[in-house]
Amino acid sequence: MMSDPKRLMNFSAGDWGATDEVSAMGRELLGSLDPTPAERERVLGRVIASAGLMAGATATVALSAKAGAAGASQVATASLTAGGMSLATKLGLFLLVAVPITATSAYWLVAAGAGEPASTSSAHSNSALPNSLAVETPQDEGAGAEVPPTGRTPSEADSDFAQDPKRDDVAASELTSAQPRFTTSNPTASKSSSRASGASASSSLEEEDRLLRSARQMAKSGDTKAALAALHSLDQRFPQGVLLQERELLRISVLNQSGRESQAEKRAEEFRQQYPDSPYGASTEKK
Amino acid sequence: MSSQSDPELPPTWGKPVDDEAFRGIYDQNIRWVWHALRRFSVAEKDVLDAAQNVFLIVHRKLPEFEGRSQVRTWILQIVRRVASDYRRSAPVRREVATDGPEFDEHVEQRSSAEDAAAHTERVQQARAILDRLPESQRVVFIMYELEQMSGQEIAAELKVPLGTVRSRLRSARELFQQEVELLLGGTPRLEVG
Repeated sequence: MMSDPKRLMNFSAGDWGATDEVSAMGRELLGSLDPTPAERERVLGRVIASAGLMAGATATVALSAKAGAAGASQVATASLTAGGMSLATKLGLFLLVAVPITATSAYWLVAAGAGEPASTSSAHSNSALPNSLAVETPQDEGAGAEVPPTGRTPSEADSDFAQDPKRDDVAASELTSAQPRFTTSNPTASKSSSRASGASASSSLEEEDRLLRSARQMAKSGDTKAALAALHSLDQRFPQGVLLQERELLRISVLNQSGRESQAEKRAEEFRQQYPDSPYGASTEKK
Repeated sequence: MSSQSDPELPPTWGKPVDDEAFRGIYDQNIRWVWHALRRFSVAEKDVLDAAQNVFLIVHRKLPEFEGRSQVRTWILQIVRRVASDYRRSAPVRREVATDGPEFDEHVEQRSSAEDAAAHTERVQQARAILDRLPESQRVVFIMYELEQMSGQEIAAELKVPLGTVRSRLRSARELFQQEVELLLGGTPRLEVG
């Protein structure tokens, strides 16, 4: 116990210039104001997830490009925030993104934008953002209408989907604890992942895992729309993913959470058929 | 955009904006952005969301950026706008208060509850001490020590002479240190275990 303060006092302060004015303890205290590694990761995960979502929508239209910088700019041009937007539109977008500071609402906006084909989205003003959230399977079309137009506040939007948080909590915690062992227990998935080039395999698994965790986090914070959107991104990006079962379970749980029980049950049924031996099978049984 | 599609390419979902470039920018800038948002009066519980909004915009606009100004300057503009929009909508959001403690429970998977509590306590202590500094000194102190701005940058932003920045920084450091000693001097409360 006593050694720590001493160590702190001996801390040689790099950037601090006139360091004798502020002790190491003071510096340590200040350091607590930095974003924690977990916070950093969370912000990055959310940004990547929603950015990927936008790109997913534009991909079908605009992805003629070669990977790399040229492709990047072409896709970006097609995306919602294209350079061709008027100043007023840009400002409007700024407000839309920044005002609902609840994390989830930014996703909501992006997700809503992503539902529209890129070729038209750049021509639209923001007040004409599409109402459909094309993140789910076709039977979801009706649900898209639930996405509110721009006037609604995040709290209103969120409350639509906060109907059964308990159920999700259970499933989410199960997933969290079960995930590590599962990465090795899905033979199909590991086969497909080993087919990928060796070097990128691990990093793509990391990426998949990160996106999945970020989706789970969104669900946990009550933002089911963003979670479904992130799951959809995962489907697009990792159709042969290693964590397919976890992904599907999360989706079932989120569907339940957002009051779409029939869809959830349908997917749960499919899950049990597709993975009859899954250790998760029981958790999809209706309680 | 070209209308031809290349069947060779898988849907390059992950490559819309150069992700590597974005991550580099993120890693280099998240820390000071975090502190700048606080300086621009974003409440503690909203800093994470605000940071997310900042980097969403950064991500989206990265292709347009093209290095016309310094990255930092460019991001700072975004931070300002996000913070300003935030302040305008603050009363609404206070009622919403989505990020309660239960939202934070997930934050640190590997750390124990005590660690999290100790961290929260340190954050509160640090903020309390900073709040005790006179405004003009606090701003300089935060800009220099936390946002890692240079003396010149601070002088330019505050529109005061460099010498003023220096003297405010010096006073702020002394005051800060005094407060640290007052608060923590007798008992090593920073020590967690």
